[in-house]
Amino acid sequence: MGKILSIIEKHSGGKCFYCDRCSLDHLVFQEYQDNNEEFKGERIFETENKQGKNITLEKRKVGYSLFKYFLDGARRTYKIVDFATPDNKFLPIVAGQIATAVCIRENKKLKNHKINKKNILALPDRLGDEFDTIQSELTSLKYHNLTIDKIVKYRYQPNPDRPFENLAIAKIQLEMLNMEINLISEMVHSEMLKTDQMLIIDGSLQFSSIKEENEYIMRDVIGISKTFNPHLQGILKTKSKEIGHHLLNLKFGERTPVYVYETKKEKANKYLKIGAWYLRIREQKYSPNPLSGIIKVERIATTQKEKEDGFSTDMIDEISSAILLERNVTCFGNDERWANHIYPIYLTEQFLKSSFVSDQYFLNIF
Amino acid sequence: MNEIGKISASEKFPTTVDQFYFWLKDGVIVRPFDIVKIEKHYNGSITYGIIEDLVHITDGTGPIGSYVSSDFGDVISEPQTLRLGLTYAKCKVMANCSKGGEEQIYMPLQDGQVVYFCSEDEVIEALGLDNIENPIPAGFIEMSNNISVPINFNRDFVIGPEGAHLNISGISGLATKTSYAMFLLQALQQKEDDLSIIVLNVKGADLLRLDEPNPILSETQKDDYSKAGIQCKPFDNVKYFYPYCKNKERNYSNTYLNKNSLKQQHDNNQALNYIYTYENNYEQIDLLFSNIDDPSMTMFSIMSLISESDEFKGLTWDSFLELLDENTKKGKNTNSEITVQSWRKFKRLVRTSITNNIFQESLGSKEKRQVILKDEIKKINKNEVYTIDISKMDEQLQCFVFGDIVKAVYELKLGETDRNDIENIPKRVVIFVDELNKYASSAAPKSSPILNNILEITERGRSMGIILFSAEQFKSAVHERVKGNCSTHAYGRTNAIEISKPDYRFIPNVFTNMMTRLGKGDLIIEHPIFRSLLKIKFPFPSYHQNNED
Repeated sequence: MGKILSIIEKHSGGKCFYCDRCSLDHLVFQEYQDNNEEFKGERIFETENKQGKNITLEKRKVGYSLFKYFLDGARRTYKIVDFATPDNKFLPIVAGQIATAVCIRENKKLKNHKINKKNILALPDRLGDEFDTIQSELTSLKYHNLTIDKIVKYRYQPNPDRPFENLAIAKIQLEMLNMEINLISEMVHSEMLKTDQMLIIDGSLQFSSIKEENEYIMRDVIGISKTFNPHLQGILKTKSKEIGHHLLNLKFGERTPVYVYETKKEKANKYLKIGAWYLRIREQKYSPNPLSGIIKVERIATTQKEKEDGFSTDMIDEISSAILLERNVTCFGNDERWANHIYPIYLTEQFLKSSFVSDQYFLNIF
Repeated sequence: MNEIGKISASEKFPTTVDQFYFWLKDGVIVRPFDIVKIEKHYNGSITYGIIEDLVHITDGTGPIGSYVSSDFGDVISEPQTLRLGLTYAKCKVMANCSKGGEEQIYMPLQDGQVVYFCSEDEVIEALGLDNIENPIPAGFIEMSNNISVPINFNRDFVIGPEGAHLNISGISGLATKTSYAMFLLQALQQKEDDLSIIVLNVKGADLLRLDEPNPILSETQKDDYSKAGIQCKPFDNVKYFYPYCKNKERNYSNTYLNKNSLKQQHDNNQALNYIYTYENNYEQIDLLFSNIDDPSMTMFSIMSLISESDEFKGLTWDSFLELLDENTKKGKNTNSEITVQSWRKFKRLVRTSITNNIFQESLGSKEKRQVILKDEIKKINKNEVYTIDISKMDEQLQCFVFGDIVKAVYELKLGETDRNDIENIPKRVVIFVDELNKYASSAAPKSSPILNNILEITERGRSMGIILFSAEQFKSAVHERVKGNCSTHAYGRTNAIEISKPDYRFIPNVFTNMMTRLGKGDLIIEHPIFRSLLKIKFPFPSYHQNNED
């Protein structure tokens, strides 16, 4: 038994059992990020286009981009052992490598701006008072040049609706999101982000841990999701109509109106207002399936005016046109999600993935 | 520092004892034949490499990906982000040098080592030129970091004793073969005291004003000579030999050279007109058959008879033709082994040539300035340059004259001369001939006397001090043994068909492909002491090339 697991056993009184150590990223079903979004379908969240029609954008071939920074986070998670807790539970211990990176584009070339990495261990919350001791000992260890940077607890629930591994991964994911927020915060405080030097985040803007006084940092940030739940209802005026059905009619260079949903912030009785719209960036005739080429774009309302009236339609059109301009070049041939991917995010992703240590190397520290 | 990239060693592209790859820093411009260095190799040594190929790759998977990335075929669309790409260079290891002069290290270069441009001194060290004995300027190599490094041959591998003979190939008008040969000959004349040069002028008046300076040389072009370590001047001690003709207006010289220059040469006693008399040259008639196929050796038999039989001694060209005429008649043939048909063929071939003005019965008046060429050749002194004009002759006669020259030089070096001033006989005679394929063709009959003479020179001439500098359009058209014995080769611009021939199979593809793109004045040279093929430039000719007054 490796030193890390010995420490856990010693202080918790539980027992670790070796299992088929594997990467969880391929085995555990990846849920849609927007599964829990509850839209206020009756409301169009933009200053004009109150009738909620799809808008045709100018399909520019050359032009100036609004985006200079591209952020992505990635994780690799592994099931380490099955753990028999002192109170007779049988739960997994999950570890993960997380990394977030921002790449900067200058003269049409992408370069690394900053990368942060951490190794996380997710333990069940059945260790009693010894958790702090375990955390203190483990985070001071260095094993094969690697350290465990943080220990997180995932909450045990009897008969959960999803595997315990997913609960552990969600905690690790949260750490990654926090790293993203910290990165963005650093950039804002360094005055790097501007209205014509915006940041694109890969994925949904699920930053429920942002404090209200810090919402402004998201002013020049948008999130682009390559995948989204096509079965979401309540977005449109016809509440039972799924969004996927509506998007079948979205043409190349068109966007939907801006819809709004709220997310409850952690430890607060307040809500983030997030405007989301869908944009088709590829011709339908060349797309492998009906919804390929459609991306979901999100922006957080950061001012009182935006929270009340919605986003300026002109601003949304400008941002959407700029995103449309990012459709070339593609990662066709390298990534099967090419139709929904924009190239600078793809490169940032590649850069991130190359920064991880190999699975074998990581697993050998346990 | 001049860092230009980093070594990349991977599973698909490993570094080896002989080669390595490095990716180039953005914005750096290099080209094939640039020499680079990698410092801090094992034991602090420096490894030098020469760039052989440049490749640009991206993360695109193919033309379809590129098509898709341009809005499915829109040529005007511009990407906001350039595709991830890089240019990498494939290099050949040239040498590994250590400060203490220790033995070379052959370990492959390591991944991640930084690659730099070389300085001039480092280029010289890389090429192994820092310790050349008896250097002969060979031109310059120009590198992408704007340095121009003079390159030298080792004389012992150009004119012996270690190696000898030079061959230059390339398309006419583009390969600058003659200009390069003349540059080397100029360097040899300036550097060597005991060497003489014989040049054949085969085209126009290209080489008929070697002693006159080039009036259109710029100061920069003159400086190139200083960089090379020689003076920018025309040839010294030049004599011109023209085929005789009956035109008094042209000083009895059958040449393309303009009238005034010709007159001046004659007035300065620099020009003479050569003829062939029966008495002096009848045994050389076989040279007229150099390119005639003679499988049954009938022409050879006739020549043997002519040289041995008393019947053919003491004649004139006219009486010789009459005697041939008799042998062509049935019943009059004195030798039953040679058929009448053979005699008729012989006569037909000989008559075509003998009617030329250079065949005279005897030396004429002083005004005509006639000489027997082989006798003049045998009088050549050290440091002299003889130019023999054959441009206005047909191919058969050109072979005849060339063969006569080669034979004369051979006899001179073998001591078959009545000269008393042995000390003035040059230790080495360099013969430069263009269109070598005419005289030593790969399809020449084995019995060709000229071919045999040239083979003698290239195979044994080194020890005798007879050196051949030759040039031709297509190397593949030259006899294997002739080009195989040349120690130095220069390649000018050529075409794709030529580089597909076996002569080029040992040359890396990137070099042969470059041969189809070489500019005027660029050559790729191969020399025994060079560690790799090199692309060089050389100075503009210092002699008068123009035929205008």
